[in-house]
Amino acid sequence: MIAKKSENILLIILRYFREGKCLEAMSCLKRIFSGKEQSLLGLDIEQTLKQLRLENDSEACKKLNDNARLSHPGWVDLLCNLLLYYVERERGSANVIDHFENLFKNTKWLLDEQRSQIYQFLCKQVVTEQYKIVQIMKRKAKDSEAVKRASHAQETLESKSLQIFQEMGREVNIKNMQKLKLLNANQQMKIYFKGFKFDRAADCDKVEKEQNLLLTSPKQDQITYHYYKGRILIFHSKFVDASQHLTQVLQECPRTQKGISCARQVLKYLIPINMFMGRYPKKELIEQFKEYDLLCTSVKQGNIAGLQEAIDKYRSIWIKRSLLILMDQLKVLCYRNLCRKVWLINQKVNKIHLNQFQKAFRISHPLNSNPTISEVCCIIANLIYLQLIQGQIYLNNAKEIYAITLSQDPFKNRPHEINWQN
Amino acid sequence: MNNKRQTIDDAMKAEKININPYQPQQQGNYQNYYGYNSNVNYRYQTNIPTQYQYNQYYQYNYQGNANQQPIMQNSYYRSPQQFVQQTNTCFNQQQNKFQAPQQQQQQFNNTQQPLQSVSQQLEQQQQSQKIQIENNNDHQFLPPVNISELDQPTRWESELKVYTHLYRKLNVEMPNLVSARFCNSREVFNEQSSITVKQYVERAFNKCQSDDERNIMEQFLKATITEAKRKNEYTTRDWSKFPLPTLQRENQIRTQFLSSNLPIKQSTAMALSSLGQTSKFGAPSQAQPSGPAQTSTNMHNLKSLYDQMIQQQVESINQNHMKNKKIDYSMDLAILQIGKLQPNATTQIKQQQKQLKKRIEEEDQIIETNMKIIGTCEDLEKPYFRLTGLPDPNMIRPEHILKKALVQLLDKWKNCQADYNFIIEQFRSIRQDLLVQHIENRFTVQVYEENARICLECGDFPRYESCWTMLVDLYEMISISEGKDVNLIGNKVEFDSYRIFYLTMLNKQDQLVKILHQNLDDQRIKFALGLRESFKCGNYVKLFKDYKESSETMGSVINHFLVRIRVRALKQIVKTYISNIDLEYLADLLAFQDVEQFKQFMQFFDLVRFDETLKFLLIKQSINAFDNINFDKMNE
Repeated sequence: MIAKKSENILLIILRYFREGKCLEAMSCLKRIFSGKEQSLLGLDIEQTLKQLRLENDSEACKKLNDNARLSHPGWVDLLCNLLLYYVERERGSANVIDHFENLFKNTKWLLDEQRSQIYQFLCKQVVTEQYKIVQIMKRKAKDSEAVKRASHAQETLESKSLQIFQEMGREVNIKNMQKLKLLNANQQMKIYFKGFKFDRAADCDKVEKEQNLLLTSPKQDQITYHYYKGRILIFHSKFVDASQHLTQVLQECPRTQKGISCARQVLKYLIPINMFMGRYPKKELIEQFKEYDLLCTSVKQGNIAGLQEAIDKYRSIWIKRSLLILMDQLKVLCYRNLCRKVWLINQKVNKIHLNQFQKAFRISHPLNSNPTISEVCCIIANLIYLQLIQGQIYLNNAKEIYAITLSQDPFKNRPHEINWQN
Repeated sequence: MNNKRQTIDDAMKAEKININPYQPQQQGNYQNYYGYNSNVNYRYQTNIPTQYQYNQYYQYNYQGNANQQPIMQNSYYRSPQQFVQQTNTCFNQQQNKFQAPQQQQQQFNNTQQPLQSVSQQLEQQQQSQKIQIENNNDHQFLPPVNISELDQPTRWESELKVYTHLYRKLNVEMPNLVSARFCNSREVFNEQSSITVKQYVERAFNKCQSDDERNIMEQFLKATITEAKRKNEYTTRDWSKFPLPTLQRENQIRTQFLSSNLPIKQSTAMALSSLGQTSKFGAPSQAQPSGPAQTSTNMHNLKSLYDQMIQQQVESINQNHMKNKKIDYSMDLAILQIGKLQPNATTQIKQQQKQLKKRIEEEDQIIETNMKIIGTCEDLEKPYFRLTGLPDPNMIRPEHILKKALVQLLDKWKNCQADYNFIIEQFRSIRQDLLVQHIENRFTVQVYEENARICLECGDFPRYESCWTMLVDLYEMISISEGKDVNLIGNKVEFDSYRIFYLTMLNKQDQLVKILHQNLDDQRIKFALGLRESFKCGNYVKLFKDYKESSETMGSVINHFLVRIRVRALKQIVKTYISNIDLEYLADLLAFQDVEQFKQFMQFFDLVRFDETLKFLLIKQSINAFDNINFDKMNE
C-alpha cells in the first residue's frame, strides 16, 4: 500500500524540479530524510523506490508512476538516484558513492543553471557524507572482517569521490560556472588533506592561475580556500603568507556557532604561526587552548627544557594537527630568544664570550648535560646564518676562546622575515 | 523480470485474451523449465493475436503490417500444404536436424478438422493421443502460423513467434526460447546433459540479437560441446565459468562503450544504433514500419525519428523554462505526448547497457582467473628481461624457489660475492616473478624491503623511491587483509625512520606529515626526528654524534647525504666566522677521519683558500666558495 501522503510529497518534489528549483527540492528531500518531516509525510522509502523503479505492480503505483514519468521525464530518474542515495546512507553502506556517481552522470541533460545547483549539492554532500559513513561502518563493525571492510570502503570512497570531483571540475571549467570552481577545488583539497597528501592538495590551487576567481566566488568558499591555502603554506615555511591567509579566515568567520567552531580550528594553526611574527597569544586565548600554554611561554622566555616538555607532552596532538614538523623551527626561535636574553643581560655589549651562551644553554636545558662550546658555536652560527642574529663569530688563535661580535641592534630582524628554506 | 511480466499481462488484458481452459492442468504438468514440449499439451489456438511487439527477438513491428492488411488479419490458419512447405523450407536450412515435418504432418492430420466444431470429449481424446505421441517421439513440434504476418520469416523468428504466443497464453514467464529449443535437440544433448550446460547455452543465446548471430552461436556451441565430449570434459568442465565467444558486434560496442563519454542524449542514440535494436516500448506506437523487407530503412527512420523526438522535447522543455515558471500542466502533457516514450526508452537502453557492462566484466573476470600462472622454473638465479608478451610458466619461479633465491642472493651480498648491478638485476627478476604470479604477502614485503635497503645502502635513490611506493601499498594491503596494525608488518617502522631522514634532506615537509601521523612512539622514529631537529637547528656536533651511533642502514643513508650536510655546515661557517679557522678543528667538527681527508674533500671546491702552511682556512677569501653548489648534482 502506498500512502497517499507520500504520493503528494513526491509530486511536490518533482514539481520543484520541474520549476528549476533544484535546491529546494533537494532540501525538501533532505528534511524528509533527516527525520524532521518523516512522521508528517509518512514517506516509505522502500515503497517509493519500488514504485519509481517500476518494481511495484499495484494499480495505484502504476498510475502514479505513469503520471510522474509523463509530466517529469528524466527528473524521475534523478529522483530515483537521490532516493537510492538516501536509502544507502540510511543503511550506512559504501555504495553511496555509486549513487552519487549516477546522480552526477544523470545531470548531463539539464540546463546549466539547474546543473550547477545540483553540483553544489553534490559538492557539499560528498565529502562530509563519506566520512560519516565510514565512521558509522566502523562503529557498527564487530569483528575484524567488518573493520577491514570499513577501511577498504574509505579508500574506495576517497578515490571515487576524487574522480567525481575531477570530472565535475572539467565540466565546470567547460561551462564556466564561476561560482562552482572554487568550491570544487576546495573539496578536492579537503579530500587530499584528509589523506595527508599535501603535495597534491597544492596542485588543486586554482586561484594562482585565475586572479579573479577569489573575488567572484561566494564568501564561504573564499574562507575555505584561505584556510587550506594557509595550511599548505605552513609546510613550505612561508609563515607570513600563511598567517595572512589564516587571519583573514578568522576575521571573516561569521559569529554563529558554526563560525566559532571554524575559528577555533583556525586558531589552532594561527597561534604557533604568529609566534614567528612575534605575536604571542593573550591569557584569555590561552585559557581556551591549554596545550599551547607551555609552548608559548617557553618560546617567549627561551626555555628549551620547557619547550621540549611541551612537545613531548602533547606529542599526539601535534601529530594530529600535523604541527610536529613546525616544532623544530620553534626551537630555533627559542634559541634566538635565549640568545637575546644573554645579550640583554650583558647590557647590549658588542662582544660576548661564547662561554656565556654555553652557560645560558645549560641553565635553559639542564637535562642536556654538557652542550660543548662547539655545539653552542654551531647553533649560534645557524642563527646568524638565518639572519636571526646580526653578528659574527670570532675564533681566537689561542683555542677555546671564542667570542661573538654583534652589530648595534642584532635582534632587529623579526623571525618571520627570514628565509627558512636556506 | 517483473518488467516483462507486467508487459505480458498488459498485453493479455489489452487483447482480451481468455485464459486457456487447459491452463490449470498444464500448469500442473509444467515442471521442467526447458522440457515444455514433452509434458505440456499444445493445442491450436483459436485466437492467435496479431501483435508480437513484446517479443524481444523481433526487430520489427507487426502491428503496422497487420493494420495495413486488415483482410488477412482473420485468416489465422493456412492450408496444410502451405504449412508443410513453410516448415520444410525452415528445416531444410537446418539440414533436417529435427525431423520435424513428418511429425508435424502427423499431428496436423489429427487436428485437421475445424476446431470450433469439435466437442470437448473429442478434444480430450486427441489430447491424450497427442501426449502419447509426444512422449514417444519427443520431437520438435511446430504449430501453424499466420503466414500473412510473417512475410518471409527466418527460421528462428517463426519458431520464436509461436512459442512466445504460447507462453503468453499460458501466462508463464517466457524462457529463452532459442536456447530452450537448442537444448532440447537430441543431437547435441542427451538425458544426462546437466543443467549447467543448458544454462551455458542459454547464456550464449542471450547474447545474440539477430538471426545471423544466433546461427553463428549455434555453430559455435555445437563445436564446443562436441569438442568437450571428445575430450571427455563434458561432465567435468565448469560450464558456468566457461567463456563465451565475443561477437563482432560486441567488440564494436565494447570499444564504443568504453571510450564514450558523450552526454546522455547522444549516448542513448548511439546505443540504439549500436545495439541494432529498437526499444521495446519506443517502436510500436510511434513508428509504423511496413514490413520486414524494409527493416534496414525502418531502423534508420526510427533512429532519426527518435532523435527528432528528443530534440523536440528538449527544446520544448527549455522553452518552457525560459518563458515562465508557472506550470501549465496541460501544456506539459501536450508536449510530452510527443516524446512520451523517452523515459521508458532511456531506462530500457540503460538496462541493456548495464547488462552489457556486467557481461563484459564477467568475461574479464573469467580471463583473469584463467590467467593465473604458477611457475615451474627452478633456477635460483635468472637474468631479468622485460616481458613483451604473455608470461611463460616455464620461465617463472614459484614462491618456494623464490624464497631460496632471496636467501642465496642476500648471502652473496653480505659476503661481497656479487656487485650491485648483479644484485639489482636478480631482485628485478624476483619482483617480476612475484608480480606475474600475483603473490602479495609477507614474502613480497620482505623482497621489496631488502631491495629498498640495498638501494639505500648504495645510494640508488630512484630505485628506492619505486620500491618505497610499492612497499606503502603492500603494507596497507596486508594490514587490511590480516587485520593488524600497519606498523607491525614487516619492518615498516624501520623504513619509516629512513624515510623521515630522507625527506628531511630533500626538504619535503608535506610528505613527512603522513609518516609522522602513523607512528606515535618508537625509538627509531624518535632517533630520526632527533637527526632532523639537529639538522634544522644547525647543531652539527650532535648530528655527527648521532651519525656515529646510528644503525648500519641508517648510517649508510646518512652517508649519502654527508656531502650535503657538510657543505651546508661549511657554508654557515664561512659566512658567520670572521677569523681563520684551524683545519683540524673543522675536520673534527665535520666528522672527517683526519685532516688529509678533509683537505681532499675541500679540493672539490675551487674557491676555497688555505693559508701557506695548509693549516688554516682563510674565511674572507673563500666566503663565496659554497654559494653556487647544487645539492642535487652533488649526490649523483
